[in-house]
Amino acid sequence: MHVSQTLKIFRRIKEAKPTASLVLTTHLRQRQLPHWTSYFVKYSDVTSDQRGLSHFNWKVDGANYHILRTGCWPYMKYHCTKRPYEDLSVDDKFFRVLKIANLGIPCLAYGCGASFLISCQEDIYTPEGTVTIYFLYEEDRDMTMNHLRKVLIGNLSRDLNLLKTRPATPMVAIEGSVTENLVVKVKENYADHPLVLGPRYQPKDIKLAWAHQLDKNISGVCILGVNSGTKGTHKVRESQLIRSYMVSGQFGRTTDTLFNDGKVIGKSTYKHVTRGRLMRTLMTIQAGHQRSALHFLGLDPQSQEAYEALSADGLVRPGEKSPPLIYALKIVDFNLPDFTLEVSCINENAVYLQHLVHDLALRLKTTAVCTQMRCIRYGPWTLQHSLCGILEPEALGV
Amino acid sequence: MLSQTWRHFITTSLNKGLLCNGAVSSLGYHIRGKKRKVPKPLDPHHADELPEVEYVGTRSQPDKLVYTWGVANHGALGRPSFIRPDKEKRQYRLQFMQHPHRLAFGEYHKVTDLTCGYGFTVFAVNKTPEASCFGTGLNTDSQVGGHQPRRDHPLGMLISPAPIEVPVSKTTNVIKVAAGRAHTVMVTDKEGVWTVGNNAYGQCGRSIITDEDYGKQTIYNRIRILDQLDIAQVECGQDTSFFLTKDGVVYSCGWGADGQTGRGHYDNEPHVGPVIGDIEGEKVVKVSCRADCVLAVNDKGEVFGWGNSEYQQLNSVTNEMQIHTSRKLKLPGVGKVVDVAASGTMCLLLNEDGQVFSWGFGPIGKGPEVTYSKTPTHIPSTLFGKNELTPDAKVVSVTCGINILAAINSHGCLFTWGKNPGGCLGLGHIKDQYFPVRVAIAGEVLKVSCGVDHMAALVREII
Repeated sequence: MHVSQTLKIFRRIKEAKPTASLVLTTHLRQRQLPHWTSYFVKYSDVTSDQRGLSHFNWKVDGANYHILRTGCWPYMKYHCTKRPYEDLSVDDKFFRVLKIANLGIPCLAYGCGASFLISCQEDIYTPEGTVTIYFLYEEDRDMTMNHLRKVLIGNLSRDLNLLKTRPATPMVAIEGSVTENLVVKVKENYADHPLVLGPRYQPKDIKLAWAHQLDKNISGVCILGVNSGTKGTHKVRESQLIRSYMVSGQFGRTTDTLFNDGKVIGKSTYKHVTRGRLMRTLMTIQAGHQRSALHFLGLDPQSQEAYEALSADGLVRPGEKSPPLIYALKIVDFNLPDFTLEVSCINENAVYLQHLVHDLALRLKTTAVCTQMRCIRYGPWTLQHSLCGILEPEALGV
Repeated sequence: MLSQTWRHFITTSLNKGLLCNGAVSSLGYHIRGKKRKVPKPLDPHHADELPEVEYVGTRSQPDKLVYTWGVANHGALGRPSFIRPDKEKRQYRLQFMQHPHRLAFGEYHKVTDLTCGYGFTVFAVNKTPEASCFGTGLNTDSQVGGHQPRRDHPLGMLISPAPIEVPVSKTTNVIKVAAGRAHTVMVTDKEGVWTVGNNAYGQCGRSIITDEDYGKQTIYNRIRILDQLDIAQVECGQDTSFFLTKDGVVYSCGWGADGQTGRGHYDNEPHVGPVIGDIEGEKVVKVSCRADCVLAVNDKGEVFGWGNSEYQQLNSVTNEMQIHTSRKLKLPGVGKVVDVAASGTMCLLLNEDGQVFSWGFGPIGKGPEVTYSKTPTHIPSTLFGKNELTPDAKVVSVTCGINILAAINSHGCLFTWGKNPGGCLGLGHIKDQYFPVRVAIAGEVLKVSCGVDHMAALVREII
């Protein structure tokens, strides 16, 4: 082939490649703006338009990410964490100096290592074509409770089997004839041998139950009970504890699912929404719920008992089955068009919280969609008590 | 780099040995379950073509709304379909409106003040070509103006708000209104105070004419004696009228059988004049009367009372059933009073800390077991929305009807309690309520007025 022809083809391929920043944005959007994600993308698949940047802010649909980017041939590594905007120019320069000082050798080594360790991949559908990105391990998302149960049971039985398990009980055999000497022998018990029975801990041996069904769109605190602990989850559920959520929303659009991932079916202006107006609307909603708590006390609203219950200090919890009741609504973050509320409620579910954001916006004469829900408290349990509480302290968000 | 074979070998062995995700041999099934199909993501530009709707402009101000509720039979709620339903529009006759009902009249007029009489409602409106005062409901004594579609056949009841044609110039606006059993008092901004309706006891401030037919003959009376005074507040008892000037002097006229005119006698008083007694020389900031007991509060937070004391409303200064001269009440332990309300049998006061005290006879707000109190008793603040979530909520004003008590807190929430004829508390039922309960109104309540069996509220929208 003629050299010029080859060059032309190369140029055409190069032109068709999507930029690395577009892949980043599309990936975050496709993942519905996760708290954290980390991926590799091949140099050969994209046009690198973020060369030289090491640590920088990246804004996608109102959410701000801190991106740690490093080139590790043959890949580029992107480590994204959702955090509020900060000035990262000093960090960026520091990392750049560090990389140059090391002549890029650790980066190359990282790339070589990563090429062995990469275990899964995902397609990113950018408007300029599909790009494959790679992960060291699968990042879980949209996890249903049933799926979580399977994963946990699987991990528990796998890890328990790695520990020193119970030895097989010996078989005691009495041999010989009754008339003559009987001999007691201890033999190896094949009936209790792991090679016969299978591993000591099996998924079917483990019971797992939860106190409250979290929707796939909600993350955060989730009370689980294993084996005898399942009775405890039942008690937790019966005691009607108040749960708190961080619910984020975005003004200006509404979708068919009332969640971020749906198809946009309406757009509206939101510039008239102020923090004060949002606060007053929340007050109205909350006061309405407090009033309706009177009807679910399990007491006659005209009785002396009802008077005494309501005039006492403290919150009133329903004494019977009740629809969702909101106890507190607070603005945690307000930065148009995005906002985050702290919702303390009872008997709610994901759809209810999504509807809350939707109705709130209608009262404010605009539209909004729920972008994120996170359970931060279940009665006395908070994120600090959770298994991942130590890992991400900044996730508390307050 | 390594050859493909090597790479595959190392990757798979590492996966199986170290990372241990995917299928685990001991499980017998794949913990990931069925491999999910990733739904094809939506095109991020799919909504670009959608039009952006502007529901509210950036510079628009919140509107004021009017809500009414209670007995609908006498037209005071101002909605014609409650009394004359249009069957084709699937409307039905309604006797009681147990929830607040948004009045369409309020959407088309800028309502500045409203008041409930006994079975009628009067609105003061701003900037309208026809009239600046409207009324609806019972009109047996022309209390909502003369309305005669046929000569000598006055309408005894109006089912929707109609203008009250006070004979003032077009540039004059009615700014404050008050209504009693069958009369209305209107304060204009330029042309003094006007009254209309029943004058059987001199409550309209003009001489009593025996056998006057108030229904057929509508007399708008301008109270000349008040022309030079700035009126801060008008208040109507059952058949009594009170005028509070900005200087803090209370004037009165009307029925005085219980001494409620405070003029030193028990006769009817058609001439407007100042109330005598301890109140003289004090700067009064609020006067309240819905039946025949009167309370007033001055700028120092002291309470004065006169009129009926059959239910021990004024027992701190008298053992008589009534007094005709104002007396300063001795109310220890209530602090500085900022607002008072006097219903037929109960009294309410509000101190500067936002605490509400009540005394008298009836559902005073302390539960069904407490129906009588001689001294002011504190109603728990938690019942007015003050709790650990909203610790700053405190009551800012109190109002009452004959048997109805109401309070508004700093968040604009309305609380009502008392007797509940026709569901006039707006709580969704017709049972009596013995402690304050919030009325479900979406918005900030600015003013509420209680009639005998209906209520009306002026509400500001949030946006």
